[in-house]
Amino acid sequence: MIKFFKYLFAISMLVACISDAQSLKPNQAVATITASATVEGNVDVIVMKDLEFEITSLSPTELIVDPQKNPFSGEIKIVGNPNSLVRVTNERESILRHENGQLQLYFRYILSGNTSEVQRESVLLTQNNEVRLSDRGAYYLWVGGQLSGLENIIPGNYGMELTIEVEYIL
Amino acid sequence: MTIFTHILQRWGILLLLSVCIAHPGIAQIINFGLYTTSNITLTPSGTMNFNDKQPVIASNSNSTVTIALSDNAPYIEIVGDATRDITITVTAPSYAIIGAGGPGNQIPFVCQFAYSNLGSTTASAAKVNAIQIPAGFTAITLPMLRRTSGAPAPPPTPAHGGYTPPSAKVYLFLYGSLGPVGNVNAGNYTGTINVTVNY
Repeated sequence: MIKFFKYLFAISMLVACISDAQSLKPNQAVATITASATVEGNVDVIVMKDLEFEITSLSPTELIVDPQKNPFSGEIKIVGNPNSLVRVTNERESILRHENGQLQLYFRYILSGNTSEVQRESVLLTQNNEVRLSDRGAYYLWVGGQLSGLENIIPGNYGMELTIEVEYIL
Repeated sequence: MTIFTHILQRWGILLLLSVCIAHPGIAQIINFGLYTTSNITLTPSGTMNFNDKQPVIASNSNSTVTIALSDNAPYIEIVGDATRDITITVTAPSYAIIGAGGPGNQIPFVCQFAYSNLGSTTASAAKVNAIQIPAGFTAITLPMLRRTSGAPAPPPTPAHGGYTPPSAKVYLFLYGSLGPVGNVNAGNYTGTINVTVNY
């Protein structure tokens, strides 16, 4: 019986040593570093209003649509990531074609822009502009221009297309 | 009574054997780290912000942004006993994610690291002689202070009362790449890199 308790004591000591060894750990230190990246979404260009104006027989030989003031200016909204910088590139001029193709007029674009939709407070833009979107991720463009060569104009509808490129500045 | 004692002895031996079998080899481990009195301190510096390298990372651009060791890579200062070896384990996720991750919400991320254990006192000096670990490795063991020449030093002084072992500083630099950026949602993608150091 005494021997039995001897064995039992030896076993309990062994188990105690093992459990003690498992609970202890060598000196260890841990640190963390965060990797991060903000990914931008796509930038969208929305045509809010077309550029429309009327030429009458009383119009002078040259017509100017002031993008900062003229209510007939075209309006474009750029939507992207808040406060991001974008480059706006547009054609300098375009050809205004008569509906039957008989006559071409030359239209020189003038653009103005603003982070809020207040045309009168917009500023004139040059051909390649870097503008910053608002904290809501918007920027407004107004499209006007200068139409010349009205001396030989004939009645009818004229049309043209303006291409504007907007890209994030990397 | 004699038979009973004999049975108890047999059972006792069997019980002892079963304990040994249940914990194979554990009793044979002598972990000297248990007896050290010196601590390891880690001081992280900087973050791995990929927008610092490329301000605009556009979705669906298929671009890969790389922060190299030569860039402004984050680092960790490891201070510990100069006479000991340390094991550094770097655990990084395979993707930087937003939300719960998954398709459309994750970007492949590869983390690499380099170390300098030549006793440099500044990060810029340490970076010059940093040793880059090939991609795929997650753990390395190195001396806290690498011997550049000469015979091996004598064994370290054992820890004893009032004795403070000399300390050394190891620089661990973290760098890596993010991408290709596929058709993912816009947002702030993150991944946490865990660095564990032990003797």
